Amino acid sequence: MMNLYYYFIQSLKAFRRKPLTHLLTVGTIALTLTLAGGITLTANALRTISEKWGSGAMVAVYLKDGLPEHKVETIRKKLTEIDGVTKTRVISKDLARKRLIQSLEGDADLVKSVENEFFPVSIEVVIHGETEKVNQCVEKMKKLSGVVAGITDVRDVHTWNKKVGHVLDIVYLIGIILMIIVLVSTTYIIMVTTRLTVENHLSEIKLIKLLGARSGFINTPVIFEAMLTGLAGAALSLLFLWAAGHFGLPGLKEMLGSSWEMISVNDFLNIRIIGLGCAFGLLSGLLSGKLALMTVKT
Amino acid sequence: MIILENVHKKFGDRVIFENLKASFNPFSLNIITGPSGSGKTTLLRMLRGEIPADAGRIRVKDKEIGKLRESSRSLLARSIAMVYQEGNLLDDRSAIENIALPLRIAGIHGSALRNKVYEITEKLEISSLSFINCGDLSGGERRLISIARALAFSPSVILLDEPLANLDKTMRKRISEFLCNLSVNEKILVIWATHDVHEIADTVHPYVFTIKNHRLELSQTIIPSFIEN
Repeated sequence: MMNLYYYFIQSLKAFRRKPLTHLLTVGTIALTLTLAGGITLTANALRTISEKWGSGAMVAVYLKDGLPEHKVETIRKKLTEIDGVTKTRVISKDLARKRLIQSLEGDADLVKSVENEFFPVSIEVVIHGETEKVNQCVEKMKKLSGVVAGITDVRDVHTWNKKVGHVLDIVYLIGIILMIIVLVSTTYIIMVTTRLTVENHLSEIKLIKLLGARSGFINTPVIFEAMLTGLAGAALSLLFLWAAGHFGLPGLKEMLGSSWEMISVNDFLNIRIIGLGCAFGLLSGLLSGKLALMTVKT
Repeated sequence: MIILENVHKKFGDRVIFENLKASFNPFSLNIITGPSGSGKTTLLRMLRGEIPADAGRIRVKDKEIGKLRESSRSLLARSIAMVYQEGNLLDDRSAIENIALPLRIAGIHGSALRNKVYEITEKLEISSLSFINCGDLSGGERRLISIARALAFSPSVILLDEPLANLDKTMRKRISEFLCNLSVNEKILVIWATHDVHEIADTVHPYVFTIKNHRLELSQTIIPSFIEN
C-alpha cells in the first residue's frame, strides 16, 4: 500500500518536473480519444435515429371493392396475427375521402365533388420494431395477399423510412470502422508517448538498477505514470465531449428538429462511457508501459 | 569476504586484468591505486557484478557473482554500496530523496525510513542540504550525498571510486577522515580506488594494492598524510 502511494506521488512529481512534456502527452491522448468518443457517440445517435424511425412504421393493405364486412374483418384478424403488428384499423371509403380532403387543405375543393365510391377500402397496419422486423412484416403481408382473396395491394408506407434506415446503417458501419481505426491510432500514440516517457527516465532507471532495484521497483513507477497519463487523457477527452455536448449541441438540436428527442443527451455523461474511457486509458497505459520497458534498452 | 581468483578482463583487444588474484578481509580498509586507465573503476564494478569477468571467479560472502541470478545480484548490489566518481545522483530530486532511494528499493517506508535518513544526515553533518535539489549542490556536497546514499542501507562493503577527486582541501580532509574511519566505526569492508595514495588520512593503516601488469600487487607503502603535503 505504501509502495502504491509512493508510486502515485512519484508519478505526480514526474508530471510536475516536466509539465510541458506531460501536458502534450495528455493533450494528444485526449484529442484522439475525443475523436474516437465523438465517432462512437455519433454512430450511437444515428443508430438510435434509425431504430426509432424504423419502429412504428405504417403499411396500407388495400381491399377489393364490395368485399363483405365479415371478409374484411377476417383479413384484419389475419393481419393482426402477424408478429410485430401492434394495431390494425379498417379505413372505410368515407374515412378515406375525409382524410384526403384534410390532407389537401386549401385544394380540398378539387375532390369534394368526388363520390365515396371512388375511394378504396383499406386496412391501416401499424408495425413496431426495428427496420429488419418491419421488413419481415411487410413481406408476410405481401405473401398473405396471394393466399387470402380480397387483398388487392400492400403499400409499404415505410419505404422511405427503410431507405433512410439503410443509409443510417451504412453510416453507422462507417462510424464503427472509423472508431476502430481511431482507437488503434490512439493506442499507438499512447505507446509512442509512453516510450518517450521511459526514454526520459532512462538515466534514472539505470541508476536505480545500479542501486540494486528489482524489475518490479523499476517498472512499476513507469507503468503507473503511463496509466495515470492515459487516465488523465481519458478524463480530459470526457471533458471535451461534455463541452461539445453542452455548447455545441444546441445547433445540432435545431438541425435535427423533432428528431432531437431521439438522441439521449445524457449519453455524453453516461457512466458507461466514463468507465470505458478510464479503462481504456488505464489499460493502454499499462500495456504501452510494459511494452516500452521491453523495447527501450535499460 | 571478497576473493578474486584468476580473473581475466578485456575490452576489445585491450587487456585490463590477467590472472588477477586478491582477497579483501571484512572490516578492512583497502586502497587500490594505479595510473588512470589501469582498471580501478572496472575492478570495483566487477566486484558489484555490474561488469562480468571474462574468466575466473569473484566470490563475495562465499557466493560466486557470475553464477548469481538477476534477483540475487540485485540483493548483492544492496549489500555492496558504491560511491561513483561522477556521483550518479538524481539531479532533479532533493538530497533527502536521493539518500532515501536505496531504502525504498529495500522496501523500507514511513518512520523507519525517515529515522534512518535523519541518522545518516546527522552523522555526515549534511542536514542543511536535505531539501536542496542535487543539481544545485557543489561537487563536494554532491559527493557527501553520494556517500550518505551508499551508507543508507547499512552495507557490508563500500566501494569508493575516486571519492576525493576535484574537491578542495577542506572538503578532502573532511570526507577523507570520515571514509578512513568507516571500516572501524561502521564495521564495513572499504575498497577505495584512487590514483593518489596521499589523499588517504594518516590516522589509519590500510592495505594498499597497486595495479601493475594487469594484476594487483599488495604494496608496503607507508602513506603520508595529504594534510602535511
